[in-house]
Amino acid sequence: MHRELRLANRLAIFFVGISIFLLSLPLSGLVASLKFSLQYLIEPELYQGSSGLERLSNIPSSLKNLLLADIQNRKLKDEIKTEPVLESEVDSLKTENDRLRSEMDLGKRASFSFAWAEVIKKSPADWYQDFIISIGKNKGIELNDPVFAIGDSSLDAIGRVVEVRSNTAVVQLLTSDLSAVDSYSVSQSSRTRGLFNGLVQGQDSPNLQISYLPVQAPLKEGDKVYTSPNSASFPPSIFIGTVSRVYPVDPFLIFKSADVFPALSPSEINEVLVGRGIKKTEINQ
Amino acid sequence: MKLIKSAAIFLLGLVGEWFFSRYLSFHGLNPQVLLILTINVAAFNGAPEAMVFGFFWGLCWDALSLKLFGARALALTLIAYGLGLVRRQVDMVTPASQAIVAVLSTIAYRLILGLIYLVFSGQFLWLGGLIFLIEPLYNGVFCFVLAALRPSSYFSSSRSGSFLS
Repeated sequence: MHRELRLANRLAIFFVGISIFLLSLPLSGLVASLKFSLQYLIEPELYQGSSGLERLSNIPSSLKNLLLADIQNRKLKDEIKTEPVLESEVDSLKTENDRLRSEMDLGKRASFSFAWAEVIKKSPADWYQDFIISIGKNKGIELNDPVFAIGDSSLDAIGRVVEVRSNTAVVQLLTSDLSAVDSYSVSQSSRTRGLFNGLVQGQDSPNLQISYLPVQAPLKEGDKVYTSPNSASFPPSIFIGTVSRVYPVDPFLIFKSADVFPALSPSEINEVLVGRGIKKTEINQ
Repeated sequence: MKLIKSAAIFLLGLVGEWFFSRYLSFHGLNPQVLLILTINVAAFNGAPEAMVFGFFWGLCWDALSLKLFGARALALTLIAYGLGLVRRQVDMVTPASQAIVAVLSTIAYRLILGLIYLVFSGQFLWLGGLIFLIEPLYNGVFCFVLAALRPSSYFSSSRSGSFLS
């Protein structure tokens, strides 16, 4: 009994001493990394949300980047899980839209599919005019098919097909002075859509120009410009660019115009999406 | 052999604590498996062995926790030491007595942990009145069931020979 008590006393002093020593020590980067790694392996939920990000601020940057990548990966996986729900919602909305359009005798909205293509040739002489993509008739590409690119996680309108060959196609960019697309603007501050449509035209330069806007159109710098439902080639509400400069109204003109900075410049475009079948049904009808 | 058995119990305790805190937590309430096992070891094997188990269990669990490193190790060591001192005066072998000891130890454990946090981080660790009231009872019931299922046989066989002896 006395032996056990003596042993217990010694162990108590030893363990209490070690515990207090550990409690008093600031954790070194290596120990902290190890601790956080173990913790993350067992309870990854602790690092979700804003409080989780706050905890990450105490972690060495190399481990922090690794954990952030995993957190983002989990988040994206969760988002993918909701995709079927969104898809079924879109399907039901499409069905409802078709029904309402047929009741109003508006004709059926065209359905379309996308095809990925690589930009295989850009000519410095026609930098803002056109480029050649890696698919053509072989993939069902047709004249006037709209061409998009992914920029900042949104689909951006960049041009349309003007020449189709067997395995390639020529895309005329929106920046080309031969391009024009019907568009509308959305106020950046109020997020409300403007009531006025305008025509976005290429200038054979980095900027586009939106014109034929009524003088009372409330256009400001920073407003977003999207394709209009009236566009002959493009589906509606595809991002074109941002208003960079609004020109003062000329008293001799009945419209005002503005410069639009395109969502993507030609030098940023390496892969494109070609919309196949857009508007064809409507045009045929 | 004894050492292997002790190591297995040690790992089982950690897995049990993790499992219960992750999957059987109800509104932040879960049985303190490590505390209950420390009580069990203290009841059957005495303070020294319970302190070793309690300290290392606490240390491992601290490695996975977000805040103070060493807090649970210290709290479990002190609980084991206290139980070791009183085990000759109090019956700690029957399920009912172990349940009562678990209730009192849980209160002591929470207070010790709160004080450690107060001293080393400047804030008393308070999980809320409801948890403070219900957790001891929950641990008591859990301890009673555990003792009734006779897992103590793992420890009772070693009453004659502790791995520290």
